[in-house]
Amino acid sequence: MNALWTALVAAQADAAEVAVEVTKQVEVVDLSAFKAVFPLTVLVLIALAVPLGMMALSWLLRRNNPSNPEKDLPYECGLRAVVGSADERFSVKFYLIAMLFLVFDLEVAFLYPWAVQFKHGGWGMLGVLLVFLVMLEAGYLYLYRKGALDWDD
Amino acid sequence: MSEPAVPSALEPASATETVAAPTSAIADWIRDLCGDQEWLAWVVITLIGLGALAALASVSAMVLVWMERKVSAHMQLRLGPMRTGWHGALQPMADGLKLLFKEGLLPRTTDLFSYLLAPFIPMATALLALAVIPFSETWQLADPELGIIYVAALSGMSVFAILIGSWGSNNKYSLLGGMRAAAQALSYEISLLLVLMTAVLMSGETAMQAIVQSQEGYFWNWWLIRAPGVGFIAFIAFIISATAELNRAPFDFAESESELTGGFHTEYAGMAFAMFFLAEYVHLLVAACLGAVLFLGGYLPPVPALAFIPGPVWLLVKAFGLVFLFMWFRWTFPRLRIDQLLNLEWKFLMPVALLNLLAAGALRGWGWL
Repeated sequence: MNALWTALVAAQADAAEVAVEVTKQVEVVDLSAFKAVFPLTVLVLIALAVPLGMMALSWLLRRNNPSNPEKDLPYECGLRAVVGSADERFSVKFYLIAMLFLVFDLEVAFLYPWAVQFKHGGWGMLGVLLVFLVMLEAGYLYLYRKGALDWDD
Repeated sequence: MSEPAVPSALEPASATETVAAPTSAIADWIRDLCGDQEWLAWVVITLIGLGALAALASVSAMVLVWMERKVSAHMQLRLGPMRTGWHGALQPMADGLKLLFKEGLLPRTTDLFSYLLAPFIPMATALLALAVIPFSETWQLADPELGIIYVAALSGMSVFAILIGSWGSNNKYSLLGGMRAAAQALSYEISLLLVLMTAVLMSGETAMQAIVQSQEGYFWNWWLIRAPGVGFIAFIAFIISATAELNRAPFDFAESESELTGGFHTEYAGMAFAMFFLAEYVHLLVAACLGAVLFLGGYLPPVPALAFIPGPVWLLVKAFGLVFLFMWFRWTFPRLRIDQLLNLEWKFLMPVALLNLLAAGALRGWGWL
């Protein structure tokens, strides 16, 4: 949701700037800030109301029949209904993926402002990026050689 | 409108002219009806647009469910649903009604809050992501400056739904499916973001409307073709990452039914399951629209002579073409193993997407784009 709020706040700030200019030109009721925020706000409400409405409708229409106590056990194969708990230990590799993701997602987050500004920069901007990427991809190569990217060993 | 055409933050400068003088007869009629109260007319038109968007989401989800069944049937030399309506066209309705009346199971061991919360997330984010898709120069609910990042953020949210739901279900299969889905979505998020950034770099814009406008003219101005090689590689990488992000075959690890009995939604029944199911198809539509906007000129016709066919038709034709591609993949490629999946991303797709980004930068530095 952060990006949504950033976008909304940015749109609001821009709209406010535009609004100042407008009031200088003509004396009209300025609605640009309202126009910027209103559609998405209502859509958030709709987006909450649609699933809620679907669940409520189903809750009203359906028939619950708790006749069989086996029914509200978690699903599992076998003769005994449930063996142990689901909170078991799982492979540490999942954590490794999450950590790798953090590093490279930050890389991408840093690159976005660069990509937006690129049209004003040209070759210089590409050079700046290459310096950043050489440092980062050295880390990538290290991970590659270390086998951090291998799942199956 | 007596108000001067102001370049608002939500509308790119090029579109203000058309926003100030829309051609739609209904919009004019509403304006006449409201008279001096221009804001009222604007609010009414926006509300109609919001309703249309919600309707589009639900109708297209149904159409996509039907299409999925028919496409898979015909690819396997079957007929698929044939009895409910013309070629089974009412089958999604029947499915929906059935699921509406189904008993909602609530297993004893669930974590109630997260179990109930999870189905709401993908539905809400899918609807919200549709808001910034431009259907024509004027048919767009909102056009934030960071439109593309807005879509990326919302489509990234659906992994939360899978994780929260799988954890809340307190079932071994669910949890395994959820962990796999998280690893997969996190990995492919990176190449997806890199590909989106390539499109941003090529067009120099982040607002969706402006990205479409940058592909004005003939079809060879579309980013798929215009940037030699780079656009094509970016498009292929986009399709692969989007397939993985959508948890569609051959990357359907979250719910690989032959190993995990349904994966993260093993414990969900009735309407809660239907919401996961429908949201998956709305997300599919959003991804297809995004691909069409970024690489296939969005609502623009391939040649200007075909401009008499309205923009929304073009966008939907392109989007449904991409949807067909996603469905084709499902019956062409067998499911990967998880190590193959992660190797594909970390050792191939991510470096390729990054190099492709650099190539796009070089092309731009050269002044080719």
